[in-house]
Amino acid sequence: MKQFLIRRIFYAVVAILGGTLIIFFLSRASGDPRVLFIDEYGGGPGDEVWEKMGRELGLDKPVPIQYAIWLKKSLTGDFGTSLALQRPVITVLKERAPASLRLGVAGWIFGTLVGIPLGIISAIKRGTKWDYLARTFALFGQSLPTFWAGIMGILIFAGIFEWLPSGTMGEGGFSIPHLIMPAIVLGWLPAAGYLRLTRSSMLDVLESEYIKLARAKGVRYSVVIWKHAFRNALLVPLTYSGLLLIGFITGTTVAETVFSWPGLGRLAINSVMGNDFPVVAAIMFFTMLLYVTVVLFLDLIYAFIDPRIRTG
Amino acid sequence: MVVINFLKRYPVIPTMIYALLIFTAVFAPLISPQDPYKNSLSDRNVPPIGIEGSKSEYILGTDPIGRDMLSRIIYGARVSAMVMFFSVLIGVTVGTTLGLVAGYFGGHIDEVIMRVVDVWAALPIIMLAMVFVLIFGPSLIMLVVILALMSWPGPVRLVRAQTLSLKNMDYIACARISGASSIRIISKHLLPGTWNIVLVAATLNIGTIILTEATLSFLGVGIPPPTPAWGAMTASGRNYLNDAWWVAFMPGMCIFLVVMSGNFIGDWLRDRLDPSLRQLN
Repeated sequence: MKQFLIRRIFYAVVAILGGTLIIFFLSRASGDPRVLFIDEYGGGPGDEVWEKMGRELGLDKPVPIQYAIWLKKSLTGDFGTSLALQRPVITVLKERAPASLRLGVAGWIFGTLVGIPLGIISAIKRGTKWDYLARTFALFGQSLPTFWAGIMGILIFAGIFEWLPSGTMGEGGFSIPHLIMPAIVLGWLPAAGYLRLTRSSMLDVLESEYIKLARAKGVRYSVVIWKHAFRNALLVPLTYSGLLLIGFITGTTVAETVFSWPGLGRLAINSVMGNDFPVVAAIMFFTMLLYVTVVLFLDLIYAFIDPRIRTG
Repeated sequence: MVVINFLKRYPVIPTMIYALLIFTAVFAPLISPQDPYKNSLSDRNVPPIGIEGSKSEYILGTDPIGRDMLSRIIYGARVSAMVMFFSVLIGVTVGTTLGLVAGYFGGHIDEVIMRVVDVWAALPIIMLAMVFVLIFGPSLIMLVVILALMSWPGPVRLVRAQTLSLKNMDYIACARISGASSIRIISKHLLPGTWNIVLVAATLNIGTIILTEATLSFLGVGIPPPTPAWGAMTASGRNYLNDAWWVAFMPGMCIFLVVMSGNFIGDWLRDRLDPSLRQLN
């Protein structure tokens, strides 16, 4: 177990280093950082200041050292100043993060609460109309373009019926009606993934010998399902959660754009449109860090639950 | 009854949708009723046939600057089909090669390739795509490159797993004993055994590729306007939902149908070709 732990953590560190390397090269490929100080009339710092800025930013040093400086700054949360907002990037991110987090949690709750139970029902009632309904729900979730689902939702529920607001977070920052549509639009794809995985792994487990034995001994059906089968079937959807997170990052960007949600995703889009590279690099950095950490934890939980993983 | 059973067993309708997509993409200039770039300010937001106020020359209506929706959707199919074809081709070729190499040689090579795959999967592709566009500017080639970059890790994992189980089989040992080189073993003996997996991986990729292409073009980082792309067309209808719902509805519906057909065929192929991955219907 200890060896497994060390190996997984080592992989995570390698993954983070690799990711930062890519972000670093992209940020250098986007141009000399000093060019950003040239104003719109072409005026800028004089030669002496230019050289001095270069020394301060470490541009006179070899690229590997530049990378080390950049990495050290990033790890301490120093991402420089946003060009569009003229404020430290880290402050802007802190302001925007809660909105994204709220939407993400709401979407995740929808995905889990709908996906996993429907997957179980679909497996137990295999071949019935319930099964077909659940699988159609999953097929739609995997095939609907998120932005289109959002726009059609606005058209139908905000435009025609006027049941729900068409966007923004609402007055005061927290409002359930404002949260419903974005959460469903964001959570539908993960719900579909959970549903399919829960269904197939539940079907696998239900076929196994120990379930048949439990049934043959006369254990009640509901107990067999929930106590014997469900626990083991849940392992597969658990590993899916890491992939889910990546889908979420794309999903929130789109959902935030469609529903005018003031979160990180929209910030990312606006920053790309406005050539605000420091913000983009910081968002990429945190996304990657988040993903690698979550995957590491899932791996460890998975190994903890299933001994075959850590030995194999 | 026979017809219904046939439809249940084979993905006839999804295949027809794909055939239609490819046909439209290839023959777009011949079948499109109007010029997709020609705008007419007097015919803005004309509704599709069957709704009050429609005009007979615009079967699916017009967009907010008076361009024919049907013609733009037909030309948009071209973009989707082209992007889909090239990115799947590049992504799957690279992915399969790396998967074969990683699985066959094992050891350090395997370790390095799989770590790169892990790192790559950890990068949010939409954001990466936006950064690429920021640096190099939007174009069709850029888009294909981005989507190909997105689609190679999946096949690597699938093909590697298959290679691992194949390479310990007796026929591979026989080939090695008779003096076959590594390249020969990989290309003549291992590759044919992975065709099924490659086909499934490619088909399942199609849906994701089209969806990502549409999302990028919706966000404004896809193919630059005025080239018609379904995602950008949906975006252009966003501000006209009350007056002209069809502008956002029609292209989105096309994306939905194409992606759904891709997923349908992919699932069907997987169940058919690879019983070990079967979803136990």
